[in-house]
Amino acid sequence: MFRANSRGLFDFIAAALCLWAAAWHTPVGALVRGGVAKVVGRKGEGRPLLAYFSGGVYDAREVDVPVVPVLPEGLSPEVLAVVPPGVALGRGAFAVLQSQPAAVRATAAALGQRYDVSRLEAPDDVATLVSRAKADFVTDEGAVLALFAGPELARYAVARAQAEGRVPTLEVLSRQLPPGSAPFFSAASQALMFGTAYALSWPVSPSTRVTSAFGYRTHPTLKTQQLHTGVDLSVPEGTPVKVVADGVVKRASEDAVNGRVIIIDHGRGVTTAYCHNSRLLVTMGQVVSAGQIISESGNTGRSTGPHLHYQVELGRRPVDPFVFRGRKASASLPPLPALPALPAPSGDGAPAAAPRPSKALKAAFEAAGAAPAEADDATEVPP
Amino acid sequence: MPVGLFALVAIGVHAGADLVDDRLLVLIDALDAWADGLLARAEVTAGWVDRVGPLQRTVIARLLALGWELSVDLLVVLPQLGYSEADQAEQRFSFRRETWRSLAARVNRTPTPARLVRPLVTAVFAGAGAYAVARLVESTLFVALQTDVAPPEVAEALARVFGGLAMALVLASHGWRAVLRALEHADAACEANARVGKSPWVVGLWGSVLSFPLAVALVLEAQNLLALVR
Repeated sequence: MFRANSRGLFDFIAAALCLWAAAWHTPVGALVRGGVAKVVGRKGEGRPLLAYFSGGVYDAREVDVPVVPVLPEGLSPEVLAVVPPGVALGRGAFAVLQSQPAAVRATAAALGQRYDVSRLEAPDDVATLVSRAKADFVTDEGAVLALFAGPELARYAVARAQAEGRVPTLEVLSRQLPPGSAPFFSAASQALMFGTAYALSWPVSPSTRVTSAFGYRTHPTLKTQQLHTGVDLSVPEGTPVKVVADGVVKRASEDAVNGRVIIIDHGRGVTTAYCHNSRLLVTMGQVVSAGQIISESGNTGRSTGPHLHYQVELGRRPVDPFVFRGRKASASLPPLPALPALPAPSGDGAPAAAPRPSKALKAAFEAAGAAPAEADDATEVPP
Repeated sequence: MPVGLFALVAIGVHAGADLVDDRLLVLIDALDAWADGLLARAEVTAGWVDRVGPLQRTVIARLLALGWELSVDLLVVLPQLGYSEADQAEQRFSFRRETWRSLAARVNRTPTPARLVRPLVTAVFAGAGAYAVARLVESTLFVALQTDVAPPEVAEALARVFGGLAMALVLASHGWRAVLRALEHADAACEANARVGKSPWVVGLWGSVLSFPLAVALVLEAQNLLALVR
């Protein structure tokens, strides 16, 4: 049916363009590239096959990389401080910046010069830079991308995203630049995830006793070794539970294990979960703001006593909520060898030691000006 | 040319699969919550609750999206490799002279799902593929030019021109061929089934069923194309 007239230069160019794009844009192309790399004995440089579906951002892989937890000056590592979102984003970006190659740090420094931030030696410097750059790059995502990729690439990506009629989220921006920009997006993604996590407040009174910490433990009812994916906070039934940051209710349901459970999506790959409640006060899809009461704690589901199971996930990977609240941060900065957020077996199978509440905690919450939970002080209820 | 056609349509299929993977994740999450509730009812199965964590659910959703994409590649895109051309002499002496008109006439006479759906979804995939090519050309040129060769404004303008040209070139050279080849293959399969007494209505049903939602997802995201004129 087709006439033999497709032998022109333009047809050849079009075919070459299609092949080039397919090689970089599709898992099939990745398979072919991987095969070719094996045949010629070269190391494959493609992303994992499933990474072609994430846009390469807010991925669990990004929680694996080393990061420097950052503490505000003058606060003890024991203090659980709540910080405003802008400052928290500065901390997240600063933390990730420390692990970047010199070229990326130079790019960030050059951006700093542009916005009259002469030095990027502290989290607050980065916070100032991001807030100033946001005016030009529309969103926090655009500003953070500019920090790692440079202003030209970020401006281009934001402009193209807006031309498509979309809000320039990092996922949308990542589709506007060629595959070679993936490391910049990975860094920006990390910074935004950590920045969001640093801004999370606490769902109940900050001085509430922790009866079971994050990590591997022998399950109290099943008697098997399992990863405890959150922290158990000892509160009496009916205690108001406050959402730790703005977000959207992703799940508000009941099952025999988690009891009455609420999962909130805070965006940028960060979600929090609140389990074993006695009463749910929000519904699925509802928009909630930081400090809003979303439920009353209880003893529903597989629970041995009244408590709140509070869980934080980054890139859909559960992490210790205390990591971003200072407790495990090192006093010597920088650098730290690895992110302490990943679950580590405790060895003897016993639950990890429960952190003690700090006296300075309530003061830190109030000083930060964020929306803390009501301080009804140490409630000592058995789990 | 056949490999180029295959590549073009495959890019479009991936763009569609990339759109539906989030929906799949929502589905998997809901399924997991339901299964957890069910397992938690009995003491024996209670230990299985929460065995599939959020990370595993993401992997499952993406594996499903990958499987979906590869299935469509196999059933709908692979026949593009059967594209062949005949010169004038061959066409003159061929036993049966096929034209797009004769194909369209058969679609009109016996509008089977394959005859209707395949060209339609291929057209959507080819459009999405051409847009992805244009975006890759545009962004790569911008990144290459903006450092030393030209100021960012000039680089952006040049990149946009070449991106638009790339899309036009791909559609003019490969787009229509991909659609016609899809129709040709669907028609041949329907005819072959009819010759052996089977119903042509069941030909390529799986391919049609799997590819149609991806095409719909792409059409719903067609606002992307506005970027070409903005």
